[in-house]
Amino acid sequence: MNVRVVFVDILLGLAVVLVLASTAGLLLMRDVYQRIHFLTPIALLAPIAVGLAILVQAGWSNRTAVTWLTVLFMAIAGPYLAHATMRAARIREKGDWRLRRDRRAAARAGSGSREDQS
Amino acid sequence: MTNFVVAAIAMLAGVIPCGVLIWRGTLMDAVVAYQAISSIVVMLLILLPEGFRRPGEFEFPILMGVLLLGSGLVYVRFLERWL
Amino acid sequence: MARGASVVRFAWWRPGKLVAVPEPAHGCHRSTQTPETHMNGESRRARLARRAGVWLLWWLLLTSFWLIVDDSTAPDEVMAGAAAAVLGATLAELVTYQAGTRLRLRVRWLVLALGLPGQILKDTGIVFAALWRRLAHGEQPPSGFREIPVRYGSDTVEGRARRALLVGGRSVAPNSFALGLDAEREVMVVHQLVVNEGRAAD
Repeated sequence: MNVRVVFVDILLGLAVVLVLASTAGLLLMRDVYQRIHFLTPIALLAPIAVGLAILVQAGWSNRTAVTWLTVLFMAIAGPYLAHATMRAARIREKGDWRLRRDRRAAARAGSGSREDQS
Repeated sequence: MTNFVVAAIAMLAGVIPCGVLIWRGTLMDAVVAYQAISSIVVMLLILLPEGFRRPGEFEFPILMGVLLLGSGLVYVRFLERWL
Repeated sequence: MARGASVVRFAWWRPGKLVAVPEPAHGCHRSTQTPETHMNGESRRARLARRAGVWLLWWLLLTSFWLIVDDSTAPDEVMAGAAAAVLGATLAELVTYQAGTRLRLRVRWLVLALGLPGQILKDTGIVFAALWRRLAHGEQPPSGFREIPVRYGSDTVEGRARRALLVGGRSVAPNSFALGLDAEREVMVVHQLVVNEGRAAD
């Protein structure tokens, strides 16, 4: 069997496994903070695997260049999007993303303190 | 059917849990699921042109990859500040 | 006022002069730097040269993207791409100028990024191990918010670029995402799926 085809199949299989496992993680986790952690394999690792598969399949071609440009955009956007999403979720929930202020605010309101575990 | 098309079909199954999350979860859960679906769609738009050997359609994933950031940030900004 | 004249005025308005979207009442971190302060000490000529340099950089980047995507060196295609890049570069420069965003990097910060691939692989193992434990044993991952001591730095262009890179670098690997840097307490607030560093919020 052609070695190149085997490599391409392995990389594509890896990408598919990463996506399916991560979407399962999205569904199984308890809250939005835990779910956001499963975005990185979908938004960064699986596209890298797909990009490598295209590279092995097509060599140094325009298709490979365009694919890796896309992967580059996703690699730059992904962390900041996840950061912004988590921050927004925290602000919606607590009013401020910083950790101590909600305790002081809660103490002033007389509602007592609570652990910041999620 | 080439291996790229098979991979694209298999990856499409990942949209189902995201759809369940959009349906059953909170608003922020839906945003996270939307971002996951966007990333999956970008990969589909890379796999399908390669599988069907249509190199002219490789422009779509770049557009989608750029819009992924913009659209995600718009949703997140609105949810953080006004909605 | 004629429409053409208002476009020209927009390009020369000082940064931040546009009507800003109103900030909400609750705590979003705001920079202490006013739009005018970063222009202090910069002559008009220096400002024009800087803006021209930014515009040129954008034009080169967008033209390169066009050439990669279009995959053609035919003169009319290249000219069309260059013209499209002129529009894009102009818009990008205007928007970044009005937003008052500038970037100044140090090479040694980028050298630290060489450790990121290893960190990503390690964190991927941690995250999927947590998923496996959730699937196999129904065990929820020990996640939580943590505080990691980090120097906040100055409120200069370089300081802001450093903080943006810190937040981005911390949010690449899947086990850990940064929410931000607290200027008062000099800590970075992160959320970890499996807590393994920093101190718990108390």
